[in-house]
Amino acid sequence: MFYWQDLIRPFIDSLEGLDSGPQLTRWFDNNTFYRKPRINAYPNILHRKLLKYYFDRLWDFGARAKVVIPAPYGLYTASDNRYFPDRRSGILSFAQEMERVALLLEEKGVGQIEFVEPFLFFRKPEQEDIELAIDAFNLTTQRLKCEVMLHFPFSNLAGHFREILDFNASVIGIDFFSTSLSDVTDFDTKKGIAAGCVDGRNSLPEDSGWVESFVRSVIERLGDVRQLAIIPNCDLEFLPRPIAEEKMKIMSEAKKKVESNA
Amino acid sequence: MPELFPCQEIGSMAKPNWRVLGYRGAPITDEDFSEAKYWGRKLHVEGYEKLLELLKSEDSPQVREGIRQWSAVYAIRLQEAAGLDIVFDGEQWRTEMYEALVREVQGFQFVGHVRSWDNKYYRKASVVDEIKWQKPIYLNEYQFTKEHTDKIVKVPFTGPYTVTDWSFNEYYQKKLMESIADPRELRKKAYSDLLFEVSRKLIRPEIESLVSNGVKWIQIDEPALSTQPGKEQVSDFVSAINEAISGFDCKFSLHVCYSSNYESLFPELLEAKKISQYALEFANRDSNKLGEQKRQGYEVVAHLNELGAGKEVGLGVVDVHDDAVEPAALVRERILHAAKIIGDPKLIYVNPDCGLRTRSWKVTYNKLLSMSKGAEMARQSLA
Repeated sequence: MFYWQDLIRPFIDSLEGLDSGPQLTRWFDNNTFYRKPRINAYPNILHRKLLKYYFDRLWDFGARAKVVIPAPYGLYTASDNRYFPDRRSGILSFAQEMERVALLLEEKGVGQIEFVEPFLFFRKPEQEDIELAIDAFNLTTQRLKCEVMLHFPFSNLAGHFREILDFNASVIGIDFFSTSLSDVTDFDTKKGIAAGCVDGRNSLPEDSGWVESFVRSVIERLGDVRQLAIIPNCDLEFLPRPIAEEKMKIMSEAKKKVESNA
Repeated sequence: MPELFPCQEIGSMAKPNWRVLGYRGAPITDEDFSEAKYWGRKLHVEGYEKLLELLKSEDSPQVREGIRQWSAVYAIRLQEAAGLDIVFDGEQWRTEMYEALVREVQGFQFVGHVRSWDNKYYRKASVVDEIKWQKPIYLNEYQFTKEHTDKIVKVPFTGPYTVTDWSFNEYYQKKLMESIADPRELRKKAYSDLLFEVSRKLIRPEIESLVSNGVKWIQIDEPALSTQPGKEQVSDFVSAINEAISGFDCKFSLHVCYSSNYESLFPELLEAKKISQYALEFANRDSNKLGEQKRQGYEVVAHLNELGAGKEVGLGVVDVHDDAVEPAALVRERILHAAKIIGDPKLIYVNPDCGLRTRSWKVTYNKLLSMSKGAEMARQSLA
């Protein structure tokens, strides 16, 4: 995502009907901003424009390649709606366009599409919002055959795991710096879990043994989970690059430790 | 200062190119030179020819310092010429609100650049050791401004929540790693520890040095506070700021920007009793049309009124993200609307939503001028 200004901008540029307004808006509780899109007309994705945001060589990695894109509810919520008469029609329209994005990426051969949804659970959501987010997500992903991950950075998921079961994702990403492990209940072990236990918002390098130990406690709590990945809790763009690289090494070391001590 | 609707800036102003390049020791263009000349004349800056000489001089530490001081004088004069009643130096001395503060404090170490937006980056520090305030940081700025104006001087001050939020927290998190296994609990506790340490060991000593040297008004800037995810964080901020500012004979205002939900700060924020003014954004969420019955951007004023806050409001009446200059009549209407809601017009101070740092000096000047004209029109309406 080196070509990306932020998670949202490639989609402002590629969706007809949107433009980037002048207003810089803070990206959650980070000292980082994005340009809030303005929805002026029905969105229509232009694949040619979107593909400019990806390295051409990415597709050579085939099933080993993963891509990260915003979930439809989040993309709509990040925007300033000046077109749709109600939220539901707006969000579902975005869901349809994001399905076209996802199908294009799948056609390119990627093995996993990670949808990022920081908006829904950053603050306590209304039930209506959760249902809307589920409907939109499932509309976007209904025809995908590749692995679908849904990641909730900056989100406290406590009390919402039953609802999370309803998202059509085979892997759920949890920011464990925002959600306590003890609050993970009712997790569907048929889904995989991506444990965000390396802090993408702190320069302190975690000890790989500490990460290993945390991963073991996840396994202990959830039992026979289908798949467990070690991830940072959020994008690593909040760190200076050398530190981000160091964090990736730590994840890799922790993985080896977990595997060798299995 | 007028009894009603005093005018103020509440954030930084852009640094002119001649200031940025000159302070860096880089050559300036003819256009930059002309700009220095233009504003010197327009603002009637006494002795501005000396700046022009400096800009043509060979680079040296003295020349750089001189250029920096002139940019502060220009910023003060711009605010005065635009009709402001409370002034400061537009933060011309500071590289950036966060960096300018923490680089002077023991315990912080800059670890690299992170993205602010698009391809703009800022230097971010990590707390790697116990925090220790070493020397006054903002005092020179204050004394310089005081020497160069007869207006009321305010000192903008980056607050503890923002310092904490914008720093990596290595030292306090590392201390807890052996005792706390859960990452969320670890982060939360380390965050809280850092917040209170910043308040006690950085903010309070700095305030002490300012107040003991005659500062009468400090504006605590907390852009990060608006991003807090819950009530717990607001309560933590209140406890921390109370520790930092209690007991001082000084006026404290609080500026919070970039918020989509100011209501979430209340009523907890009212417990920071020493803070007498909230300077917030309003204009950028309001209609620019004249004659609106309901000014939607100003709903927070009604909320404060319902809570019986009794605080002054730094009323944002011009949008800092837009070059279009709000007509004075619109400013007047916004002020009178807020004054009517709040009941006591003496509680209304008039300002832009935030600092006009991203706007040119021309736009900044015109917006501030329109703002002060609108305030005068509002005063006349109530006379």
